[in-house]
Amino acid sequence: MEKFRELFAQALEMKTDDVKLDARLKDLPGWDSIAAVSFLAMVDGDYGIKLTAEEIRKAVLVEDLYKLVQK
Amino acid sequence: MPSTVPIFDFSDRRFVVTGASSGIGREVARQLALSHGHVLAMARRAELLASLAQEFPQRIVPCVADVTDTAAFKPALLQFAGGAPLAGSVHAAGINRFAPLRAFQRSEAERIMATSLWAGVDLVRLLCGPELGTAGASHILLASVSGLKGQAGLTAYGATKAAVIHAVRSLARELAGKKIRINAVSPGWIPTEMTEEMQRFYPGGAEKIVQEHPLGLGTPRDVALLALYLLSDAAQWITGSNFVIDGGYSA
Repeated sequence: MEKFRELFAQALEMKTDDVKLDARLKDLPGWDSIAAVSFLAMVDGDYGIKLTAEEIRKAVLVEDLYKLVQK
Repeated sequence: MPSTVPIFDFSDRRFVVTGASSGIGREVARQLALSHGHVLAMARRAELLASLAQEFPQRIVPCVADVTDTAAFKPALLQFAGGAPLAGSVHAAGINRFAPLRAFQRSEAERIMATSLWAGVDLVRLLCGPELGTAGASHILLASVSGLKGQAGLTAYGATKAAVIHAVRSLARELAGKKIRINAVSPGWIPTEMTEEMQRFYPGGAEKIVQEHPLGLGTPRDVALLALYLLSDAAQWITGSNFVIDGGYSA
Protein backbone atom coordinates (compact mmCIF):
# COMPACT_ATOMS: atom_id res chain seq x y z
CA MET A 1 0.00 0.00 0.00
CA GLU A 2 2.73 2.46 0.99
CA LYS A 3 4.72 1.56 -2.12
CA PHE A 4 1.66 2.23 -4.26
CA ARG A 5 1.07 5.60 -2.65
CA GLU A 6 4.69 6.64 -3.18
CA LEU A 7 4.59 5.56 -6.79
CA PHE A 8 1.28 7.26 -7.45
CA ALA A 9 2.54 10.46 -5.83
CA GLN A 10 5.65 10.41 -7.98
CA ALA A 11 3.60 9.95 -11.14
CA LEU A 12 1.44 12.96 -10.28
CA GLU A 13 4.26 15.00 -8.75
CA MET A 14 2.35 15.33 -5.50
CA LYS A 15 3.17 14.58 -1.86
CA THR A 16 2.75 10.97 -0.73
CA ASP A 17 0.84 12.13 2.37
CA ASP A 18 -1.75 13.77 0.12
CA VAL A 19 -2.62 10.53 -1.69
CA LYS A 20 -6.12 9.44 -0.63
CA LEU A 21 -7.44 6.17 -1.99
CA ASP A 22 -11.02 7.39 -2.07
CA ALA A 23 -10.20 10.51 -4.09
CA ARG A 24 -11.64 10.85 -7.57
CA LEU A 25 -8.86 10.90 -10.17
CA LYS A 26 -10.46 13.67 -12.20
CA ASP A 27 -10.47 15.91 -9.13
CA LEU A 28 -6.69 15.66 -8.79
CA PRO A 29 -4.92 18.58 -10.53
CA GLY A 30 -1.88 16.44 -11.38
CA TRP A 31 -3.87 13.68 -13.09
CA ASP A 32 -3.21 14.20 -16.81
CA SER A 33 -1.98 12.09 -19.71
CA ILE A 34 1.68 12.42 -18.73
CA ALA A 35 0.84 11.36 -15.16
CA ALA A 36 -1.11 8.39 -16.48
CA VAL A 37 1.67 7.10 -18.74
CA SER A 38 4.24 7.78 -16.02
CA PHE A 39 2.17 5.63 -13.69
CA LEU A 40 2.05 2.98 -16.39
CA ALA A 41 5.83 3.07 -16.86
CA MET A 42 6.51 2.94 -13.12
CA VAL A 43 4.13 0.02 -12.57
CA ASP A 44 6.07 -1.80 -15.27
CA GLY A 45 9.35 -1.37 -13.46
CA ASP A 46 8.24 -1.71 -9.83
CA TYR A 47 5.47 -4.29 -10.05
CA GLY A 48 6.29 -5.99 -13.35
CA ILE A 49 2.66 -5.53 -14.35
CA LYS A 50 1.92 -4.51 -17.91
CA LEU A 51 -1.16 -2.30 -17.88
CA THR A 52 -2.48 -0.39 -20.88
CA ALA A 53 -3.46 3.26 -21.21
CA GLU A 54 -7.04 2.04 -21.78
CA GLU A 55 -7.18 0.12 -18.49
CA ILE A 56 -5.99 3.17 -16.63
CA ARG A 57 -8.47 5.42 -18.36
CA LYS A 58 -11.35 3.37 -16.96
CA ALA A 59 -10.28 3.99 -13.36
CA VAL A 60 -12.44 6.48 -11.44
CA LEU A 61 -10.95 6.44 -7.94
CA VAL A 62 -7.31 6.25 -6.88
CA GLU A 63 -8.33 2.95 -5.31
CA ASP A 64 -9.20 1.55 -8.76
CA LEU A 65 -5.57 1.98 -9.76
CA TYR A 66 -4.46 0.30 -6.55
CA LYS A 67 -6.66 -2.67 -7.43
CA LEU A 68 -5.10 -2.87 -10.89
CA VAL A 69 -1.63 -3.36 -9.45
CA GLN A 70 -2.90 -5.95 -6.96
CA LYS A 71 -3.99 -8.28 -9.76
CA MET B 1 1.99 -8.45 -54.41
CA PRO B 2 5.67 -7.99 -53.51
CA SER B 3 7.96 -9.62 -56.01
CA THR B 4 9.86 -12.64 -54.77
CA VAL B 5 12.65 -12.08 -57.29
CA PRO B 6 15.53 -10.51 -55.39
CA ILE B 7 16.53 -7.00 -56.48
CA PHE B 8 20.10 -7.39 -55.25
CA ASP B 9 22.63 -10.16 -55.61
CA PHE B 10 24.80 -10.70 -52.56
CA SER B 11 26.25 -14.05 -53.68
CA ASP B 12 29.40 -14.95 -51.76
CA ARG B 13 29.04 -11.99 -49.45
CA ARG B 14 28.88 -12.37 -45.69
CA PHE B 15 27.01 -10.05 -43.36
CA VAL B 16 26.33 -9.71 -39.66
CA VAL B 17 22.83 -8.76 -38.53
CA THR B 18 22.07 -8.02 -34.88
CA GLY B 19 18.60 -8.00 -33.37
CA ALA B 20 17.87 -10.74 -35.87
CA SER B 21 15.30 -12.65 -33.83
CA SER B 22 12.40 -10.31 -34.58
CA GLY B 23 11.17 -7.17 -36.30
CA ILE B 24 13.40 -5.25 -38.69
CA GLY B 25 16.57 -7.20 -37.89
CA ARG B 26 14.91 -10.51 -38.69
CA GLU B 27 13.55 -9.18 -41.98
CA VAL B 28 16.95 -7.76 -42.99
CA ALA B 29 18.46 -11.21 -42.41
CA ARG B 30 15.69 -12.82 -44.47
CA GLN B 31 16.03 -10.38 -47.36
CA LEU B 32 19.81 -10.81 -47.42
CA ALA B 33 19.35 -14.57 -47.55
CA LEU B 34 16.76 -14.23 -50.33
CA SER B 35 19.37 -12.16 -52.20
CA HIS B 36 21.87 -15.03 -51.86
CA GLY B 37 23.91 -13.46 -49.09
CA HIS B 38 25.22 -15.30 -46.04
CA VAL B 39 24.21 -13.98 -42.65
CA LEU B 40 25.42 -14.39 -39.11
CA ALA B 41 22.16 -13.70 -37.32
CA MET B 42 22.73 -12.47 -33.79
CA ALA B 43 20.18 -12.12 -30.98
CA ARG B 44 19.57 -13.33 -27.45
CA ARG B 45 16.56 -15.53 -28.09
CA ALA B 46 17.66 -18.93 -29.32
CA GLU B 47 14.27 -20.31 -30.38
CA LEU B 48 13.41 -17.40 -32.63
CA LEU B 49 16.88 -17.49 -34.19
CA ALA B 50 16.55 -21.23 -34.78
CA SER B 51 13.29 -20.79 -36.69
CA LEU B 52 14.91 -18.10 -38.84
CA ALA B 53 17.90 -20.32 -39.58
CA GLN B 54 15.53 -23.18 -40.41
CA GLU B 55 14.00 -21.07 -43.14
CA PHE B 56 17.43 -20.57 -44.78
CA PRO B 57 19.68 -23.38 -43.53
CA GLN B 58 22.29 -22.75 -46.23
CA ARG B 59 22.45 -19.01 -45.71
CA ILE B 60 21.70 -18.05 -42.13
CA VAL B 61 23.93 -19.03 -39.22
CA PRO B 62 22.31 -18.35 -35.83
CA CYS B 63 24.43 -16.83 -33.10
CA VAL B 64 22.86 -16.57 -29.67
CA ALA B 65 24.64 -13.68 -27.99
CA ASP B 66 24.27 -10.54 -25.97
CA VAL B 67 25.18 -7.87 -28.49
CA THR B 68 26.67 -5.64 -25.79
CA ASP B 69 29.26 -8.32 -24.96
CA THR B 70 31.58 -7.96 -27.94
CA ALA B 71 34.35 -10.11 -26.47
CA ALA B 72 31.94 -13.01 -25.96
CA PHE B 73 30.70 -13.18 -29.55
CA LYS B 74 33.96 -12.36 -31.31
CA PRO B 75 34.96 -16.05 -31.73
CA ALA B 76 31.63 -16.80 -33.44
CA LEU B 77 32.22 -13.86 -35.74
CA LEU B 78 35.70 -15.03 -36.72
CA GLN B 79 34.44 -18.56 -37.31
CA PHE B 80 31.63 -17.30 -39.53
CA ALA B 81 34.08 -15.19 -41.53
CA GLY B 82 36.31 -18.22 -42.06
CA GLY B 83 39.43 -16.13 -42.63
CA ALA B 84 37.83 -13.86 -45.23
CA PRO B 85 36.65 -10.29 -44.69
CA LEU B 86 32.97 -9.50 -44.15
CA ALA B 87 30.90 -7.42 -46.57
CA GLY B 88 29.02 -5.49 -43.92
CA SER B 89 26.56 -5.40 -41.08
CA VAL B 90 23.20 -4.15 -39.93
CA HIS B 91 22.93 -3.31 -36.24
CA ALA B 92 19.23 -3.58 -35.55
CA ALA B 93 19.40 -4.66 -31.91
CA GLY B 94 17.61 -2.17 -29.74
CA ILE B 95 15.35 -1.74 -26.78
CA ASN B 96 12.83 0.93 -25.98
CA ARG B 97 11.25 2.08 -22.75
CA PHE B 98 8.56 4.65 -22.48
CA ALA B 99 9.41 6.92 -19.56
CA PRO B 100 8.34 10.50 -19.00
CA LEU B 101 10.86 12.50 -16.98
CA ARG B 102 9.21 11.73 -13.64
CA ALA B 103 9.49 8.01 -14.41
CA PHE B 104 13.05 8.30 -15.72
CA GLN B 105 15.45 5.59 -14.58
CA ARG B 106 19.07 6.13 -15.35
CA SER B 107 19.94 2.43 -15.43
CA GLU B 108 17.25 1.83 -18.07
CA ALA B 109 18.43 4.80 -20.12
CA GLU B 110 22.00 3.53 -20.03
CA ARG B 111 20.88 0.10 -21.17
CA ILE B 112 19.07 1.63 -24.16
CA MET B 113 22.18 3.61 -25.10
CA ALA B 114 24.50 0.63 -24.55
CA THR B 115 22.47 -1.58 -26.87
CA SER B 116 21.60 0.69 -29.78
CA LEU B 117 24.65 2.92 -29.81
CA TRP B 118 27.74 1.57 -28.13
CA ALA B 119 27.21 -2.07 -29.08
CA GLY B 120 26.82 -0.92 -32.69
CA VAL B 121 29.97 1.17 -32.62
CA ASP B 122 31.92 -1.67 -31.02
CA LEU B 123 30.62 -4.13 -33.63
CA VAL B 124 31.74 -1.80 -36.41
CA ARG B 125 35.15 -1.50 -34.73
CA LEU B 126 35.51 -5.26 -34.87
CA LEU B 127 34.27 -5.51 -38.45
CA CYS B 128 36.56 -2.76 -39.71
CA GLY B 129 39.68 -4.11 -38.00
CA PRO B 130 42.52 -5.99 -39.66
CA GLU B 131 40.89 -9.43 -39.38
CA LEU B 132 37.47 -8.65 -40.83
CA GLY B 133 37.63 -5.25 -42.53
CA THR B 134 37.78 -4.78 -46.26
CA ALA B 135 37.39 -2.05 -48.87
CA GLY B 136 33.86 -1.89 -50.21
CA ALA B 137 32.20 -3.03 -46.99
CA SER B 138 29.04 -1.25 -45.87
CA HIS B 139 27.59 -0.94 -42.39
CA ILE B 140 24.24 0.27 -41.13
CA LEU B 141 23.16 1.33 -37.67
CA LEU B 142 19.40 1.43 -37.10
CA ALA B 143 18.26 4.82 -35.83
CA SER B 144 14.68 6.14 -35.72
CA VAL B 145 12.56 9.18 -36.47
CA SER B 146 12.58 9.45 -32.66
CA GLY B 147 16.16 10.65 -33.08
CA LEU B 148 14.99 13.56 -35.24
CA LYS B 149 11.78 14.67 -33.60
CA GLY B 150 11.12 15.14 -29.90
CA GLN B 151 8.54 12.77 -28.46
CA ALA B 152 7.25 12.99 -24.89
CA GLY B 153 8.31 9.98 -22.87
CA LEU B 154 11.06 8.95 -25.28
CA THR B 155 13.98 10.99 -23.94
CA ALA B 156 16.39 8.07 -23.59
CA TYR B 157 15.34 6.35 -26.81
CA GLY B 158 15.32 9.58 -28.85
CA ALA B 159 18.65 10.78 -27.48
CA THR B 160 20.15 7.36 -28.22
CA LYS B 161 18.91 7.37 -31.80
CA ALA B 162 20.08 10.97 -32.35
CA ALA B 163 23.47 9.82 -31.07
CA VAL B 164 23.44 6.93 -33.53
CA ILE B 165 22.77 9.32 -36.42
CA HIS B 166 25.69 11.47 -35.36
CA ALA B 167 28.06 8.60 -34.58
CA VAL B 168 27.57 7.46 -38.17
CA ARG B 169 28.75 10.86 -39.44
CA SER B 170 31.98 10.71 -37.45
CA LEU B 171 32.61 7.06 -38.29
CA ALA B 172 31.99 7.69 -42.00
CA ARG B 173 34.82 10.23 -42.05
CA GLU B 174 37.14 7.85 -40.22
CA LEU B 175 36.34 4.86 -42.37
CA ALA B 176 36.33 6.56 -45.77
CA GLY B 177 40.08 6.11 -46.03
CA LYS B 178 39.55 2.36 -45.89
CA LYS B 179 36.74 2.68 -48.47
CA ILE B 180 34.29 1.40 -45.89
CA ARG B 181 30.86 3.02 -45.77
CA ILE B 182 28.47 3.48 -42.87
CA ASN B 183 24.97 4.94 -42.77
CA ALA B 184 21.98 5.26 -40.48
CA VAL B 185 18.41 4.26 -41.29
CA SER B 186 15.57 5.98 -39.42
CA PRO B 187 12.22 4.25 -39.69
CA GLY B 188 8.90 5.61 -38.57
CA TRP B 189 6.42 3.35 -36.79
CA ILE B 190 6.72 -0.22 -37.99
CA PRO B 191 4.46 -2.81 -36.36
CA THR B 192 6.93 -5.14 -34.61
CA GLU B 193 7.18 -6.80 -31.26
CA MET B 194 8.93 -3.72 -29.90
CA THR B 195 6.37 -1.19 -31.13
CA GLU B 196 3.48 -3.40 -30.06
CA GLU B 197 4.88 -3.24 -26.55
CA MET B 198 5.15 0.57 -26.87
CA GLN B 199 1.65 0.98 -28.17
CA ARG B 200 0.01 0.47 -24.81
CA PHE B 201 1.51 3.77 -23.66
CA TYR B 202 -0.40 5.71 -26.28
CA PRO B 203 -3.88 6.76 -25.29
CA GLY B 204 -5.88 6.48 -28.49
CA GLY B 205 -3.50 3.66 -29.38
CA ALA B 206 -2.91 2.33 -32.83
CA GLU B 207 -5.37 4.59 -34.60
CA LYS B 208 -3.59 7.79 -33.64
CA ILE B 209 -0.22 6.37 -34.61
CA VAL B 210 -1.53 5.35 -38.03
CA GLN B 211 -2.96 8.83 -38.60
CA GLU B 212 0.45 10.39 -38.02
CA HIS B 213 1.86 8.44 -40.99
CA PRO B 214 0.35 9.76 -44.27
CA LEU B 215 1.12 6.50 -46.09
CA GLY B 216 0.00 4.40 -43.12
CA LEU B 217 2.36 2.18 -41.19
CA GLY B 218 5.35 0.55 -42.84
CA THR B 219 6.53 -3.02 -42.75
CA PRO B 220 9.87 -4.52 -41.73
CA ARG B 221 10.32 -5.39 -45.41
CA ASP B 222 10.11 -1.71 -46.43
CA VAL B 223 13.01 -0.94 -44.13
CA ALA B 224 14.95 -4.08 -45.02
CA LEU B 225 14.96 -3.25 -48.72
CA LEU B 226 16.38 0.21 -48.03
CA ALA B 227 19.06 -1.45 -45.90
CA LEU B 228 19.88 -3.84 -48.74
CA TYR B 229 20.30 -0.94 -51.12
CA LEU B 230 22.74 0.74 -48.73
CA LEU B 231 24.67 -2.52 -48.32
CA SER B 232 24.91 -2.96 -52.08
CA ASP B 233 27.46 -1.48 -54.45
CA ALA B 234 24.67 0.64 -55.95
CA ALA B 235 25.16 2.86 -52.88
CA GLN B 236 28.94 3.11 -53.29
CA TRP B 237 28.95 6.93 -53.08
CA ILE B 238 26.80 7.11 -49.96
CA THR B 239 28.30 7.35 -46.50
CA GLY B 240 27.67 9.21 -43.26
CA SER B 241 24.03 9.79 -44.12
CA ASN B 242 20.77 9.15 -42.36
CA PHE B 243 17.90 7.73 -44.38
CA VAL B 244 14.41 8.48 -43.13
CA ILE B 245 11.81 5.91 -44.11
CA ASP B 246 8.57 6.83 -42.39
CA GLY B 247 5.61 6.97 -44.78
CA GLY B 248 5.64 10.76 -44.53
CA TYR B 249 5.60 10.98 -40.71
CA SER B 250 8.23 13.71 -40.65
CA ALA B 251 7.06 15.45 -43.83
